[in-house]
Amino acid sequence: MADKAKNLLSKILNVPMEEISDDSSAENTRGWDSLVIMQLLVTLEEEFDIRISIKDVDFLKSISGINHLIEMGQEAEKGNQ
Amino acid sequence: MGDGSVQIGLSGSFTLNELKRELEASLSGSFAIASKVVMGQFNNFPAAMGDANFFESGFIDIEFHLYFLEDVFQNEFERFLSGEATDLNSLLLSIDRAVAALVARARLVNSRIILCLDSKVSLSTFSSINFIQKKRLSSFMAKVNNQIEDQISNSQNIHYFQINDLVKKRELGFNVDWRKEFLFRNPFSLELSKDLAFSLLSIVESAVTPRKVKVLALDCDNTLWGGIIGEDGIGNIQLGNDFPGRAYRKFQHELLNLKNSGYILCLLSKNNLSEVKEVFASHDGMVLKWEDITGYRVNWESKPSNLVNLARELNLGVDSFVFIDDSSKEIAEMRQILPDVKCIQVPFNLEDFPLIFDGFTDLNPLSITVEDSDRSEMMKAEKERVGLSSKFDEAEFLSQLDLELILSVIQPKDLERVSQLVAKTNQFNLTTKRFTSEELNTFVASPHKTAVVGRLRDRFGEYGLIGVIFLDGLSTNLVNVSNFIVSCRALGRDIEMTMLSNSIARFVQDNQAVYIERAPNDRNVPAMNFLEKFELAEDVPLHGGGAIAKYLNLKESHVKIRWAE
Repeated sequence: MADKAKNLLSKILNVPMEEISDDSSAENTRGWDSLVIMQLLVTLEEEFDIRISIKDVDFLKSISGINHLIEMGQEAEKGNQ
Repeated sequence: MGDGSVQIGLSGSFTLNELKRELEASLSGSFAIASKVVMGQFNNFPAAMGDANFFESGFIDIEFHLYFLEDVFQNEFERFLSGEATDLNSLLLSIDRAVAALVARARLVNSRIILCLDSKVSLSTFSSINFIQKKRLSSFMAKVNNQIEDQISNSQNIHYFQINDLVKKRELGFNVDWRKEFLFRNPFSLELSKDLAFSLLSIVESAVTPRKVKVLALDCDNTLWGGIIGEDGIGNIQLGNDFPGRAYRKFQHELLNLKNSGYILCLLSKNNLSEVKEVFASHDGMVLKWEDITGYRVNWESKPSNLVNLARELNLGVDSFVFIDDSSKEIAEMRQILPDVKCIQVPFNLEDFPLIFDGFTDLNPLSITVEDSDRSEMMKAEKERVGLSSKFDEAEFLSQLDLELILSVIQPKDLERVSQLVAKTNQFNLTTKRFTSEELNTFVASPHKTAVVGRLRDRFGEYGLIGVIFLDGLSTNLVNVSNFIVSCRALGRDIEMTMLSNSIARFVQDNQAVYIERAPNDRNVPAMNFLEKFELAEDVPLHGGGAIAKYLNLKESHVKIRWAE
């Protein structure tokens, strides 16, 4: 699970996955700017078929936050089934 | 495009990084166009329009300027959208100034400039805006559009669109992603973003790659009309204002539109010619007329061999053809025998017929010059010439053509066509030196320089402006022919020497010598052969205008010469 977020971010930032840790965040990672956040928003919605509300955008500023969004999305999907 | 890579400038009033990324990925990916995308300063409309160094990146091939009035004139628009009385007309003046600066700047460059000015209202739903406000806004937009279109009407390298012209129609709510607009200043939904990128990519592609497809080769039965003329008879084919005839009529309208934007229509049908002609002549439902058809092979031979025949007649390669047919067997045969021909099969479901050209990027005419839209006519004439050439030997053929070459000193109205010749001609081009419109203007305006242009016609029709000779050093004792270009459509008519010798006779005095510049490469072989044939050696200036003209002018008496003042 954790790897999904790291993998996504490494592709968007164009850096090796090893350089991204579970604690990585916009504050401690170079290049993780608003454009990256926008790309994360769009890509996450496409890849995981989830909808991210504007109030949840802060979750896109850390690996743990991204994982949280993916989990929430998958739970919502289970709930729907 | 000096190093072969296309320089693309991107400017706008919203965050463009997403678009830039999309463009870069597709250009280097599926489009395989070497390119570099540079961005200008964010939301600075006046500078984007008027500042020649806006992109801070030397030469730009294609500029995209994408602006929303809400961003450019934020205060005025906020007041307007809040229902306050606002004089939107004062904005017209600001737009006028900015676009005037763009028009002035565009004259100095060869780049293609795409300008989009739009309102976000047209993309989105603003439920709180009432009908009167919407009406006011749309009439204002109409004024903006008219004003800009007027201003750029003489600038061939500026194109004006609205965002809505470049994206697919979808429900208003799906165009805008408010999260992206609020957080990142980019209002486009993911779908709209992709659409827009695709349209820009098609524009880039059509601007940098010469238009490959020139001819649409059309089947008749179940393609131009429903049913089979040979079996059903003219009274029973489906073509008219009711379904299914409507679907075919719609398709014919699209074909006519393509013909009017410079494509050539040909028929490639297994039928009796007389029956097909009768449908064209007397069926009420026909949109296309026989005159719209430049060439045809209506017989019982195989379609690939007919197409090769047609290609020879039109003097084009088979890769210039798109073949449209309803039969999967014919399509398969064509694909197998002539893989360079692009094939489109008429869809089985007629409701899909109007979408037949969707995504077919080979038909994407962005710039249409007069010569382009006259192409059908010129091709028809060329076809008749080929018919003649098979009856006579070479010299007899040329003398039967009644060729007339009309020479004149270059005029302002010739500049666009001459630019095109300079940019595109490879075969008969002594130096293949390219230059910008501005360099051309400067050359023409210089006191000791001139350019002679030639127009050719024969008994079958006009060839248009087919050649240009650049002369400089007119007041010195050594006149320089700095370039001589002849369009390939006029090659094989032996008019090159007539054009050169008459220009020399006109502009070179007997006490002056002539030097002919050249730069051989692997493509301008015809031009080098010409110099060789007439023993116009390098580094050996010829002496005396009259004598040279007399020496050179001996061999081509089949061309009548006229100077137009």
